[in-house]
Amino acid sequence: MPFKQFFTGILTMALLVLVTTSGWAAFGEDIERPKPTFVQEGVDWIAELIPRGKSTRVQIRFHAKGGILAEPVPKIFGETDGPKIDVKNYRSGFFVVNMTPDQKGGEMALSLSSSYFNSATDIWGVTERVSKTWGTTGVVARIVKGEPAVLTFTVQDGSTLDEDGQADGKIQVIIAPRDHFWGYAIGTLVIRFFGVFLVLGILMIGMILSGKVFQALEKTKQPSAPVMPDEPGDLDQLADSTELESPAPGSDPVQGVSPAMAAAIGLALHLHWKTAATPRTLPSATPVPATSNWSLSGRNRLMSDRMSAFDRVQKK
Amino acid sequence: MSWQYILELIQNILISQTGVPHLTMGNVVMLLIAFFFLYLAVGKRFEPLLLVPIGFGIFLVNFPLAPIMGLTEEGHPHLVRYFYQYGIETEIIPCIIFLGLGAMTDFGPLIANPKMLLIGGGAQLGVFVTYIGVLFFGFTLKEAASVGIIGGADGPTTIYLTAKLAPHLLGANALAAYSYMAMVPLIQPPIMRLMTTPEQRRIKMRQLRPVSAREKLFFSLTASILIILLIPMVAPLMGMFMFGNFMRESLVVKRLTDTAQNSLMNIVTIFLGLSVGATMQAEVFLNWKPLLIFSFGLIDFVVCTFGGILTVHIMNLFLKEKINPLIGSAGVSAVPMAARVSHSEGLKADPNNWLMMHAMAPNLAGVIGSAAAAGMFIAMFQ
Repeated sequence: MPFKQFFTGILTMALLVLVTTSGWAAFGEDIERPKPTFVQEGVDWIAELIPRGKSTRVQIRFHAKGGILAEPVPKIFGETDGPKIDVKNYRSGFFVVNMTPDQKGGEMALSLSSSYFNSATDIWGVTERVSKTWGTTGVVARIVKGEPAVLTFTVQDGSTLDEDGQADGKIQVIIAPRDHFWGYAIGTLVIRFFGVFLVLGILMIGMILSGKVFQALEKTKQPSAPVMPDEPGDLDQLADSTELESPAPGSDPVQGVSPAMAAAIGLALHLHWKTAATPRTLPSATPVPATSNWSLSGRNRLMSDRMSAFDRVQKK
Repeated sequence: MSWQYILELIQNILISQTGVPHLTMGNVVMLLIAFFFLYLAVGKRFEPLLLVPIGFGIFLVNFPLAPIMGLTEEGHPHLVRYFYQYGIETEIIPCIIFLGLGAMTDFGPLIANPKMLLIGGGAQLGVFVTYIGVLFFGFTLKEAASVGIIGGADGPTTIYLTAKLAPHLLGANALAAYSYMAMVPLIQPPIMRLMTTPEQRRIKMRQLRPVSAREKLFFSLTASILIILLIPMVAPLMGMFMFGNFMRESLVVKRLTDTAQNSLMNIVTIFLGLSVGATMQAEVFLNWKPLLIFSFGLIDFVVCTFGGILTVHIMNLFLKEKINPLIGSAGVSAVPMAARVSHSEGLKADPNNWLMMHAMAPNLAGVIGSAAAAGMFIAMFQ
């Protein structure tokens, strides 16, 4: 079959991509890199940006204590000068922050606050300049429900975090708010998968309950529905004694009826419903054994006609 | 006028006003891809209503210098770009298609057996597995979500989500979704046979209870209330779907229902297909991503089928009246193809086992499930 070859081809190509590093590299480009814009508000600077994996803009407020804060600038690492970090973990991007402490060698506290941050958000920066190692800046988080989360860390002029490493009255730090990408991706995946189940489960309960209400309403509308017999032989007796109405759901009214008779009933129902305003689900109780071509043909025709309501191939 | 001048004139016309010198290998490859999908649609009858316009869209857009999908010098869109801009970028067309689908859908089998909704949820397993899988290949979160939804086997949902999250992948995702939807009869049966025993395939299910027109009418309202309250992001899709269904079941707007089912649906399908096809220009399409999308799309369908059948097996552990696991595969929402596959596999196991209407229930649940999954993804990026 040619399509087997088609599938095999696709899977083989996928495998090739998987085992070749060029395949991985091809998708490494950072097409979602945040492009923040900054506005000053009092002594604070506010960055507005769309983080990776988001469609809406968020704000990050920069506030410093113990000195003056200059306008932060976004940092774009080149391939050679960048530390070995996974950019996906830094969804709001990297920032270069310049500050002037009140005195040379002084200490400043820098706070970043945003509604986008959560309890898992940390702020990372250079912790070892020679090897360009990144690590946590030792953030103290203040998270109050309903308010933006505030992450604060201290940096001393001339310390490791300070880019020039000298106590010269100027502090420059390169920092980034960090969330664990895979933790977020897998966590949200599991929650959302079960979320789909939850939604469908709630809908199912709603439908079961409303179904019971509607069934009860239908029953009250048909109080004279006859009780169907268990034994096939009782059918004749029943037909003599009462006019046959629609069977109760779950009962077994057609057991023992010949296939030809069943097909005739099916055809009659089919013709009846074809002219009715809307198609209905068959009210028969159990499948009728199809042993003759005539009955099989009738059932096929019936099923095909009912399927037209779902036929996307014809109508979509 | 010298001969040299005439030659220069001809040369200028040939170079600047005809496409021939600008034809690249990429264009040729894309034209071949267009022919392939047109062949699938016309020769093999694979989703022809979608693949013909998509295939022709690919065909048209890959002629060099053709003003089809670009912008004029004044910045106005070319012909098909207009369709794309106003139909897909604004997300109008997928929602109108959902309106038509709602107007075409009889929820009777699902209302009669609401338990089947869980199968529609289980069959979304592939969506989430693929989402994680493509992340390993450097896809962004948004791209991963748009590729994952392919396994939901719902074309309009795939287009809606992709247009929202990763429009640059629209062509590849839509093509993969519709191609694999058409190939459901080839993809699903081996998995179904692998995951079921002959005895399980022969399980006969009780006939569905009758569902009154009034119950069907109320279903579209109750389902809208519950789903939109829980996942507001899915309101455009589900709202239109249930609106179409409400019109159908109300029986008082037959003309509107008929228009939504037929004329409107057909009109938007033309623009949808053409616009989606026209996004597949050589310079955009010819890279590793579409190939990966096709590969993961196939895996997605396989895992979704697996998830649906597995859900039935799990449900059967707790149910007194067993469900035939063959209908689990219909939880992917390729309506009604997946239900037909369940039915035909059931007939192979027992010629007297009529699973069609039973399989329609998870099939319809799959439509709701994939829309719910899409809503979950959209909400994730808000």
